[in-house]
Amino acid sequence: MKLITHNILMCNKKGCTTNNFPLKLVATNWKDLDTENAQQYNPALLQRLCEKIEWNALRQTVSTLNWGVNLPEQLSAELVQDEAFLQDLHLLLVKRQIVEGQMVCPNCERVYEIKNGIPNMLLREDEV
Amino acid sequence: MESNTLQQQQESITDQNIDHLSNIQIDTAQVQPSKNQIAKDAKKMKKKVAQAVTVIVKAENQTFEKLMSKVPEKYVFVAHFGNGDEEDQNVVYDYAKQFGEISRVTIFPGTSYGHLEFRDTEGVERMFKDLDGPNIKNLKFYGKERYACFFQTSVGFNELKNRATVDFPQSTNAFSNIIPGLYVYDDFISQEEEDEMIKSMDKHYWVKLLNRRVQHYGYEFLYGVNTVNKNNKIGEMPDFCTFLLPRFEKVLKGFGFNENNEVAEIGAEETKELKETFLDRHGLFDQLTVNDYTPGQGIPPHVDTHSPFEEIFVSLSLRSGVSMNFRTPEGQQKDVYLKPRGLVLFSGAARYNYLHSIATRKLDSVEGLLKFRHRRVSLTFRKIKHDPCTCRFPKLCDSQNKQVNIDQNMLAGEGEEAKIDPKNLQELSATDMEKKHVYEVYDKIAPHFSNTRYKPWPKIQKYLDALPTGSLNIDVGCGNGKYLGCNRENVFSIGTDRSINLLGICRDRDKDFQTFYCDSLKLPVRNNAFDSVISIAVVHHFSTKTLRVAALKEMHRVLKIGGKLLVYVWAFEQEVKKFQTQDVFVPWHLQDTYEEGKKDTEDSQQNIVQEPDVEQNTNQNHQEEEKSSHSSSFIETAYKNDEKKATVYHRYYHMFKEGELEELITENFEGQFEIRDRYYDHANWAVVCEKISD
Repeated sequence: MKLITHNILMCNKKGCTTNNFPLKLVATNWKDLDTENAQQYNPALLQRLCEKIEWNALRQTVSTLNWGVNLPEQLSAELVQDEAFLQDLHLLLVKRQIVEGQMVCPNCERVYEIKNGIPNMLLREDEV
Repeated sequence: MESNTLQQQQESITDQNIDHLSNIQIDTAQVQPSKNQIAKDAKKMKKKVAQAVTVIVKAENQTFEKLMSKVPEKYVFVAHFGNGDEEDQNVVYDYAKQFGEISRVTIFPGTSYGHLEFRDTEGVERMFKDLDGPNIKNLKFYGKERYACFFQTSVGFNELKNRATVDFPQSTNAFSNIIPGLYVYDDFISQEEEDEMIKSMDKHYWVKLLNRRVQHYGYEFLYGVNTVNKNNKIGEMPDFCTFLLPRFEKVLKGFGFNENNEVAEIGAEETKELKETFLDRHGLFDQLTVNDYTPGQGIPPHVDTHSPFEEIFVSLSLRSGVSMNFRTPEGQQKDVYLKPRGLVLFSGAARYNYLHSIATRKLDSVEGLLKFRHRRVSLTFRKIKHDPCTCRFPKLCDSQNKQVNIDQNMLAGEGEEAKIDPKNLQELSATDMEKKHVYEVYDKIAPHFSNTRYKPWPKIQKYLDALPTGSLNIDVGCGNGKYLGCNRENVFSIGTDRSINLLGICRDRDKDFQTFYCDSLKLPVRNNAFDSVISIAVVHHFSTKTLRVAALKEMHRVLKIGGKLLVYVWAFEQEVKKFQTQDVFVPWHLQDTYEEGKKDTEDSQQNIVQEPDVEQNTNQNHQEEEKSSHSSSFIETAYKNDEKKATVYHRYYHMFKEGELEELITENFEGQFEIRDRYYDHANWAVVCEKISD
């Protein structure tokens, strides 16, 4: 699971309608894809994605991951033109994957497991 | 001579049968020429009789001897009355009842024969004495005289082959004590009043729902949440029911409350002392829902949501009666016939603990008689309730039992097609059908399935290629991820599926593919997150319209305004395969090499099966719950096919007819989705639409 995928996920459990995004992420095993396996670096794509991302959620999540990455509070027009910044984002959003871990709903504390890079978001019957 | 004539007429009857027939049935000497003019045309009569016999023998597929008896018994076959409609039934019934008590009249719609059951054999004897000639009676159908043919038989209703087409649950006319809290008032209005009401309400605007039309007065009914907006009174009761109000007052004065504040009939022992009536406490009804049903339309099992309405509500039937089914979550059930112009009052258990429903069919069986449905307009009058419900039936109570999926269409006040399986109140996420015949099957066949599907279809590839750079795309039901790699230089795609094994295959194919495991009815995705949704061959796996709409609703929710949706569903109209019904089970022959523990990828390419053949789902009308659960039990999900060295799994499909997908979208997403393109591709109907509002 890439962080960009995490950035669109929310808790959809029955009754959980507020404060259900972003899910608190615990990454026990993560890996950077080799350049040949990963999607190509494409500044135009990254710039567009920046507009679609919930930046605060991303920044907040990254700050809890102990990856030594600090994202700026706000995205500026200059920043999204900055080559070095976009390269960093490419690594963070496109190449890096969480292989094992958990996501926890900040509201209802439902835990979603990530195994083999695939988040299990399937709710039980009594949760829908 | 005579038997020759008959033989020429009747090819399907054996010689032996003809002899028998000619021996017992046809003897012109028996007929008194002076009695009536039929005798003059004995030949014609014989022809008629022989034709009638052939029809019955053929349709019942039993021997002549078994079907026709020489001595009177309680049963009679009747033929040649017309098309088997209501008029025919009434004429036959009116004629037969003068000879004795009739316990059952059965006619088979679309055929011209039927079956009568008398209480005793004397009735049959009397009837046969009255016939104009052997087996013949001249009766008037639609103002035209016809020779109806009658035959004595020992074959009872239960032995009839055609019985299945008319063997509906028996309704009863008797109300008292059958369902606690249900009261009935026959002839609550006159026919003139009924006509006036219909005329007047037809001048008002009908809101079209999927299965019926409605009008709301007093307060607006909110579908989806199945309640009313209590703070938004939209008006008074309409003029056409002003004359009813004094009658309602009278009725409501007849009910008070016991010590637990439950409604009780005044005059009963426990309420003798009570002075305060329902009318005193709550006043008259202030919300009205008018439902207009055409024959064949019905309503799924539901309770009227507890919290928005007081205990008593009433329902008035206009124009047509209908058989209403009542059942408790515990499984008790009863069919009750609501007569036209009759009022039914719901209170107590009938109001709170019985799910009521109307089956989707055109006829009802009422105490042995078939009743045809006509246009039926029902008026349901309710009283808005301002505090939570405290009834003693918490199971179906939205105030007391938050666990029950009351908020989501489940215990629909009048939810559109909200389908409840009383045995399992929590079924929206996955009905048994989807679980058994879709999810489990795909998990089992995943590796094999994946090997047969590797090449993107050009039109879908083209759609993805055309998305603007930086688009976020979600593939709902991505299978083995065949589209996750399309245009990935410019588009960021994420796939979801209900089969974890298929998602594992996605990941094995490419570590870069992004997926998560979820139900397409509940996408764990924030609103308005995506620029594009594709859903290829998914929506046809949902067995009810409600579920299909629910799936589309989720896709709508996660799309941005201006975002696009591409949907593919299997087409009913296919060049190669022909289907008789829209709801089918499609077998998948899973080669043994793919069975768990025997995975053999080298072999697999040559084991790819030809296009799966199709078995018809014997179940014609999928909306009828009982039938559908029945069908899934007799078609096993998997069985071993030794000859082919394969295990066969059945996947459920709803095959879409041309235009059906568009209609589903335009009817349910007016102002939300706009259709941009539609086409036929690879035996699928495809629609592209754009989200134009939330």
